[in-house]
Amino acid sequence: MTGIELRGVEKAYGKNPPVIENLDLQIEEGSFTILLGPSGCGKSTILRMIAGLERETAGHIFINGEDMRDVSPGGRGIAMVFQNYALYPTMTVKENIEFGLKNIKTPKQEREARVTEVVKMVGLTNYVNRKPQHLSGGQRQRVALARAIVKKPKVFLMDEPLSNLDAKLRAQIRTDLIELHRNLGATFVYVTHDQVEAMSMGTDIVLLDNGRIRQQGSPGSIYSAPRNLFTAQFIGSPPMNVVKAEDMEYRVDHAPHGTVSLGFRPENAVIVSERNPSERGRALFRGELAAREILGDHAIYKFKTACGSIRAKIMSGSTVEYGEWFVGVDRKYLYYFDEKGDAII
Amino acid sequence: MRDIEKVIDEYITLAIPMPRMAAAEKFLRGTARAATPYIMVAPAILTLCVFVVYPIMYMIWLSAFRWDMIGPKIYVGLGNFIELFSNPDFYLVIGNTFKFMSLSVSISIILALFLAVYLKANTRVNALLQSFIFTPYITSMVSVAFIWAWLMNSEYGLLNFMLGKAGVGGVRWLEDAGAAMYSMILVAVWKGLGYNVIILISAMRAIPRQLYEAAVLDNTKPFRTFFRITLPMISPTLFFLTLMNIIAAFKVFDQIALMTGGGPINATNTLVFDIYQFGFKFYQLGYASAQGVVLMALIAVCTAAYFGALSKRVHYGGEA
Ligand SMILES: Nc1ncnc2c1ncn2[C@@H]1O[C@H](COP(=O)(O)OP(=O)(O)OP(=O)(O)O)[C@@H](O)[C@H]1O
Ligand SMILES: [Mg+2]
Repeated sequence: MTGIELRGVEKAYGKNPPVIENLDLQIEEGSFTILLGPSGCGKSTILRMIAGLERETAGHIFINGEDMRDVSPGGRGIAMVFQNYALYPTMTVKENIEFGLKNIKTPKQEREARVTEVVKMVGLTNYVNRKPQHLSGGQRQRVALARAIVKKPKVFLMDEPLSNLDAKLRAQIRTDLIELHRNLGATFVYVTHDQVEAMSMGTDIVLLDNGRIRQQGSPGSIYSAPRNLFTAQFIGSPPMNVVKAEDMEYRVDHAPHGTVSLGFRPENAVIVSERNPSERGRALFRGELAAREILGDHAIYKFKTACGSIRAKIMSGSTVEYGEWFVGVDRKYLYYFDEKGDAII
Repeated sequence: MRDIEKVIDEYITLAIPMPRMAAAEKFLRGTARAATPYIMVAPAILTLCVFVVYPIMYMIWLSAFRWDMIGPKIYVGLGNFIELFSNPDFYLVIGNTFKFMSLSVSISIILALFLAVYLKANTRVNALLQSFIFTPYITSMVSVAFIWAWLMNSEYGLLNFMLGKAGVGGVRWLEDAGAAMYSMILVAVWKGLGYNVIILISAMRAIPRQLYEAAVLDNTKPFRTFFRITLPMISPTLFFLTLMNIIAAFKVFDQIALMTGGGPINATNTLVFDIYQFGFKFYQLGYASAQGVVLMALIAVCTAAYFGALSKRVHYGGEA
């Protein structure tokens, strides 16, 4: 049984052309699924349709096998964490958290117990009587989480919940969310455009572009086996280098038939000072070092070559000086793409 | 703030030559710096003094005299106030004023809240309805009074004509001492409602949509959503709007003067209209001034009481 299933879902806002067409998506029960994609690709729209805040114009959404078409947002067994938290400004932390429970007439004793437990879980015990405006961004974030957790939903929906936080806090809450997911065993659907968040937290990544799924799979498979150029260039930091085969100064003779472009990850590139003609099975590029970023444990070098700019990510060693260099990639690290941008296996 | 101070400081430094800062210069510079803000607000303060503070002072002063505008002013001390408070008509007038104020404001605000909830959605029909409802507010009181006086005419008015058609007996809207005040309240509500609705709608539209989405996800019933989210979120606007309504209702004049002239038998006579009558019809300016002082005190006391009772329950501060 799948946790959430979208079948042939279409969404159009007003009279505009649909932003999502004929979307089929399966979200496994208990997974930490990330909806990842560039801005405007429809991630929030999908999430909001699952929540019932936006009505699909066609198709069906199932949660635990049940058609959600006529189920109100409150009746779907879900909880949502908004990007700007959407806390009730006029209520205290405690009132915010228990509001949903009060609405469904949870007995006072149980309510108190659940609120106390959740507040402790997110570390806000000393702040229960404060109004949200007197909390820091991270604390508000925790209130928003607590408000979701207290409902004991089967599904958590989160729309970029970390984007208003600074980098350090983000990293910390990322680990907190992973723990939370493991402890609760609920299904998490998490929207982000940040691939670091996606890779670090997700058990399953759905990569979207223009309302379509470009690839779905585990972070490992999405990273190591991109099925198309879009995936290849979206995942990884810096993204995969892609060059046109015909522009290459030194042809790769072992490329499969139909190859139009080649890709390789910056972390698989090596920088050498001269060309070794005897070395076979290696793609080679001659280029001028244009920029270098030294980032402590690693450095990123950007070269200008005959087939555009190429980045190399070198883990350690001495700093490469500005000048002309060769960038080499072992053939086992090469990806081949056809004219449609699909990977050739 | 600090930036402005810095700019002022620089400006003063430039204006006053300072090759060697003698003590006197230093003093001048300090004084100029301290005086700058006062100099800047001086024009506004001056205008306020001439057009607000002076008339009020003059009114208070005048309330201690008997004066018919032509003859000499005769000092009577608290005589006007004693006369005022021993006049039963005065209590009737005060009662009328409070009745008018409390009923017209509460009806108007509650009605406006209802209408705002239904009209806040941004549709074309709503835009049209909003402009309909706003029209009376921008219509001159003279026209409004004229139209309503005709509508409410007991013999050939439209209201009684329709009541007659419906098989109900007519009402003597403006001639019946029991009904006239309610007719005044009806007209006042009708005229002021649009303004209240528009202000409340704009306050409601400023509430972030996510709050309502969160409420829906929290299984909140519409009624509860209104009382727990909408109302607290617009409380600053509502608070201020009600206060403005109260003060305006205390000062009602033109409507009374145009429609009933305070009658029948003082049934619609309110404080400001009474002041006008004593001052400019009976030429008892001292007595009228004493009434003015009482009006001012009433408004001040009511405002203070209103603040004391409600300001703690107003939610100030941004969204979170
Ligand atoms: N209420 C709306 N009315 C009309 N168009 C909308 C509405 N909401 C979203 N859209 C359009 O739908 C498309 C997808 O929007 P959506 O908010 O789902 O994107 P997103 O992937 O969440 O982007 P982001 O990362 O910027 O939040 C966009 O092109 C957007 O312009
Ligand atoms: Mg979004």
